[in-house]
Amino acid sequence: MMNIKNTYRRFLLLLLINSMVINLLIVNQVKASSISDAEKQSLKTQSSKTRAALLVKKSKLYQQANNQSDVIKTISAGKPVVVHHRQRAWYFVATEQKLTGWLSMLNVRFNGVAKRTGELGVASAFNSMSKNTLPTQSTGIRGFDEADLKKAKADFKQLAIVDAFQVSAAQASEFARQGQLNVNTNIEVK
Amino acid sequence: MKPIHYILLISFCLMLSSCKTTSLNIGGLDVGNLVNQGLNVFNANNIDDEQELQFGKNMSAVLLGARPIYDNKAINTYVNQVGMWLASNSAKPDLFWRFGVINSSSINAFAAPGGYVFITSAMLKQLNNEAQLAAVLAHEIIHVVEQHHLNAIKEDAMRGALTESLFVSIDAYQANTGANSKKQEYKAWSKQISSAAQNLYSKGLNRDDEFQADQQGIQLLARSGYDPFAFITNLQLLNAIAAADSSLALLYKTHPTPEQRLTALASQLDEFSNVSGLLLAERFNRSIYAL
Repeated sequence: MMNIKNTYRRFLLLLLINSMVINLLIVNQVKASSISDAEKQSLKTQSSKTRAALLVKKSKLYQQANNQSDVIKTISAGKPVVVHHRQRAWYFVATEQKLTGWLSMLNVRFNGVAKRTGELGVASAFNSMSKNTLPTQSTGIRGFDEADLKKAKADFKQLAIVDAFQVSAAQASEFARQGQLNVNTNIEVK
Repeated sequence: MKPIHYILLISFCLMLSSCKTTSLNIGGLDVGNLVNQGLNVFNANNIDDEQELQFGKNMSAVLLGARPIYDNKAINTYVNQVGMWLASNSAKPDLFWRFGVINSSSINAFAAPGGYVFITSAMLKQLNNEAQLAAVLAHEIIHVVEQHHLNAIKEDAMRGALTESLFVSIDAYQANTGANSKKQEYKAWSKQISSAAQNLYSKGLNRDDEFQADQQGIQLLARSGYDPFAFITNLQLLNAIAAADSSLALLYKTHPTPEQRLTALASQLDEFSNVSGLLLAERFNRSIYAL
């Protein structure tokens, strides 16, 4: 009698495990179907740069980064999303229902940060960098407010330092060429 | 009216007339006329490129008197390369363009007439790629190209700051005003330009000028081959920093809020829907952080 009970328990346990595995496979398959290989690669490389955000208006979550593609779901204003990366004017996001897709970047606002990484808090981050780079002595750097301007006296020695950093138009063109930057003549500044 | 009254009236008129024709000419600028007739004669057309540049140098020197330039040649050269490439594609490529990083924990960027553009080191730290840096510089370049500072100083609130001092160097000022004491004269001159700079940079520019700098700045960014949407990312990042954060105090006081700026730019973005610009994150990190 005891053996029958144990066998029945084992059978139930196996059934439960089996159903969990099947569920996991289905969920993964659904996820995989909405993320292209390129996007998966991008997610791998940018996962550390995700940002929590909120939708500021009701928005369609698209399959691709354009409004001609299939709509996965319409998401209400105020819902949280996690922004992974951007393509032109579109953010690739994950919703709280684990859906992934593209939203217009204008409909998204990043969550506020309690204290920006700029004043004293940034010191440790920048201290770990080379001394040839941006200021490492963040604790010694002060802000810039009206009172500072009121007290300021013209410093032409500082201005001479700035003038010495001058770059010619030819040097700037070479710099652009190295970065493969080309003038987009279709766009006018007006 | 008695004859004596006629004589007094004629004398008074002659005296006024004499004042109006007394002209102090400094560095080619008829400042006597400027002072006598006030702002009626002052508009951007009266100021030539040289005077505008001197105005910019004086304003920039005060800014740098408040906080020094970040003393790192490699980073400043990189910022100049990005800035000069943008300026080359602007409507005024031949101005005396100079770019610099101000060592400050406040998040901000400034421009001065004639071609000076500054970004603070704290603003630089908020950015992740070259396109975002270019977006900040492009906004400031438009202020210079459109002479927004000259416009600002014409407005009522700034009239008190308008003096001939703004457009001349201390050397020219001393040489032409016949100063008794070099020290005293310098102090007076310095006080005047500091007052003007304080007015300009603490009151800020006209709100419409700020929106114009956004609207044309994003176009300049795209025209120069960068991803125009980096401009939007910058505004979203600024929007996420608490408005009460002291590092943003001056920026918020002198600019529309990031939310207002995003709203104003929204209708313009269709213009760039097919634009494929570059971000250049790797070059930015290599240049700024030497990774």
